[in-house]
Amino acid sequence: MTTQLLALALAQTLSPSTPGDLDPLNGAVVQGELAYLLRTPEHVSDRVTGFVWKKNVLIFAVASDDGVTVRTWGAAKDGALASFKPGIPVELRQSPSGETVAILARQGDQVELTYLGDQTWKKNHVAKGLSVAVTDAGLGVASAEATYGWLPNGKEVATPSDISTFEEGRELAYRTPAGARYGLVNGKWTAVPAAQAFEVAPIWVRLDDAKSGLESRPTWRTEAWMTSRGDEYPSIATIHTGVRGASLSPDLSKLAYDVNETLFVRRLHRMPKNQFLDLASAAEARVLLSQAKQVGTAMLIYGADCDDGFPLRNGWQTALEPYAKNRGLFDGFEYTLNGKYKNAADIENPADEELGRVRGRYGTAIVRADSSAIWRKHKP
Amino acid sequence: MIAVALALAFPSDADPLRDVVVLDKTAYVFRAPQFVAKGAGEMIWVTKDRLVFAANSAPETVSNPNVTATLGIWKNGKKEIIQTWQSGPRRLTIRPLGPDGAAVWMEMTQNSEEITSTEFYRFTGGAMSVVRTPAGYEQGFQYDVAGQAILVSWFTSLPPVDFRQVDYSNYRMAVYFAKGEPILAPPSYSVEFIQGGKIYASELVPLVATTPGRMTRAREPKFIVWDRGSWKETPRVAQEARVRYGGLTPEEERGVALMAPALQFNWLSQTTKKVDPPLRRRELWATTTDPLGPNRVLLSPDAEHFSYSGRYLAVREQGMLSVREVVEVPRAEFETVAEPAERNALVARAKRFLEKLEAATKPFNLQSLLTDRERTGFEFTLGKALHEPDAYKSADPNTEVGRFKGRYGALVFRRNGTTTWQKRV
Repeated sequence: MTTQLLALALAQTLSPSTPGDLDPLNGAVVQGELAYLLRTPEHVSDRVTGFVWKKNVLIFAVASDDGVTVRTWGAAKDGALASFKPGIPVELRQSPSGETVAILARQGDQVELTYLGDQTWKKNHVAKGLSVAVTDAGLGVASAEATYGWLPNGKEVATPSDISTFEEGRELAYRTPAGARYGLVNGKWTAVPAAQAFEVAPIWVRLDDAKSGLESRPTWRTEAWMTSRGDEYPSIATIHTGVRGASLSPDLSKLAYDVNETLFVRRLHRMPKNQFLDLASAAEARVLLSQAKQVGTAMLIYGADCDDGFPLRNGWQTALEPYAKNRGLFDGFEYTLNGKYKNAADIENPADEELGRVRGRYGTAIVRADSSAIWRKHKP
Repeated sequence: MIAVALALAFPSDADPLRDVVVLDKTAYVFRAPQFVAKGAGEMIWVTKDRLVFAANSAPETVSNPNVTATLGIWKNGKKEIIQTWQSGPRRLTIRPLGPDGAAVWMEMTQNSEEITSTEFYRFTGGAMSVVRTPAGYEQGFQYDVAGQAILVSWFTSLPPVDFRQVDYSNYRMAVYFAKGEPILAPPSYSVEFIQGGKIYASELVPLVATTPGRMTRAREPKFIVWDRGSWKETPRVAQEARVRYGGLTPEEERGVALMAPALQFNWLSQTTKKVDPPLRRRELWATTTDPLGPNRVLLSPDAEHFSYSGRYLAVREQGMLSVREVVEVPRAEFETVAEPAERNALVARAKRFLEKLEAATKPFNLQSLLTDRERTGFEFTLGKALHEPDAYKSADPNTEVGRFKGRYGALVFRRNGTTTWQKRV
């Protein structure tokens, strides 16, 4: 009955637009007055060699026996953007805000450059020492032979020949061999001292190296986390362990990551912090009530087998193990009845006598001697 | 030996440095995963290349009335959806049935405390049939330990809340095999085990209070056996041996031991304290007993469930079900691919490190130049006097900078980018 009431309470806290696949207990971060919740993963493609965001469209490269194909996901009409023969390494690059993307396929001195601004352009280069800078304001290409720039609208901009390199970043900017910095301001190359400062995003992806296995030959993997600034709880959520890469779309609505060459996307759902707290509290109640109830039931079955006795203070977990689904059920369970009664028949009113409890962040689940469980919400 | 697809050439969709374990003259290669289903709840191989899976659209922590449940079959890279249920909170569970693994049972439980009837789905030879169980209260499902049948129990009238007042005359239990009609035990009898084609059941006897604080059974229970079409009373029979999950008889168990599977799958529990409360996960490893190796490979750092058919490995990770084919490649063939792959990877690492030294503006500090991961197997052999950008840049281009040690050899690299590969003998 309690479970049904909770389900009802939870259903009431969800607005009709709230997706049903949110996990507020392990897949959410809070920043300021907003909570960001990860939805369940969606499969995009197998055998993926790389991916970038072009605004909110995912651009990814897929390997097959016929070569590499660059495709889109999340566009109005998804499809193949470019194909390359087998053996040609394909590199995908995006500008910081995903305004522009470049696809570079190198074979010896030959480079095929595909530029995705507002539309798509292609160019073949035969150039030594080619360097490409992908920026939100356009693309800068410099080689020993030539230099040029492309704006997002595809317009080519004239560039001086004494360019050392173009810089990655928000603006289209280059440095001269002497180190002077020039940026494109109102269509003209102007001396600009420093790059524009980046705004700090409310949430971001953190990648950490982690190892397992033998110290002498450890197996390394990369853990991906979604984090906020850390002044609210929760400030960190697991995305996946063992990724090759992970990144958020520039508008923070989707998150892409690849595991064993398989590419997944998890959409993010935003909700007000207060609504999130209700959701998280209801979810925690569900999980902890179930845990408390299962331990309570295990104690009663133990009692039925042991002349209505209760397990002893020491080793109660081991005594209950045959009656519980798994030992993890005992984590965090406080056996409050411990030692108070020796026999269930001595309890006058089992519905009022607490067997034990599990404390959570939002409340406490209490199981009583008749195996009924109740939830006590913590005071705010 | 387990029958695994044989291949002479190393598959192009596997990484020789990451996806392989060896034993004796064979390399077991895990090919790139093929995605099967999202939100997969359970899966089981019914034949070596045929997987039956169930998928639920929402995680278990959310009480959601709009869960979609899907039942499907994957075979040789092709997926077929058998049925989808859109309404109501449901969970699909799949269990193997029968020692040949050719039949699959599926139970569908409703997220409610009062279930009045339940449907079963039986697979036999790829065909599915629906079995509707009798109406009752608090239906329970059990799985016969030998994996031969599903046991369903229920009360014909609402049972009392206090278990001490239960009247077992309302208790019924039915045994469903892979085929045919269910076998119903008499009222108040509960099936204990099935052995040698016989079903053994014992009577449930209510408890009575004898002295204050003591409950005992009113009398000794009776035992019955289903043998050749009828129930007969019998003295209590001990079960010969509890056979392990999967339904193997002791003879079959010995058969498996004789086959000595080359590939073993192992779990390794990990806990991360970065999140509060700490997060538990289980790593899935494939291992062999080869002393030289590679003899262990991390297949999944966060696997919830796996099942190996002898040719394919199905893994559920974060609710995503994928399948990887395991192919056997001659070890010599694998090593001809693995050694150059390792060498190329180490050359790339050396190149990145040299670029960092060239760009450095402060005296070299290995801790800040390389991460722990990048330092694995690395030996910095550059003389101490050259650990300073200007001194380094004016040093002999042929000066040795460092070595990367790998499984198949060591790469010595110099300031000018030239390298020497010392093959491990």
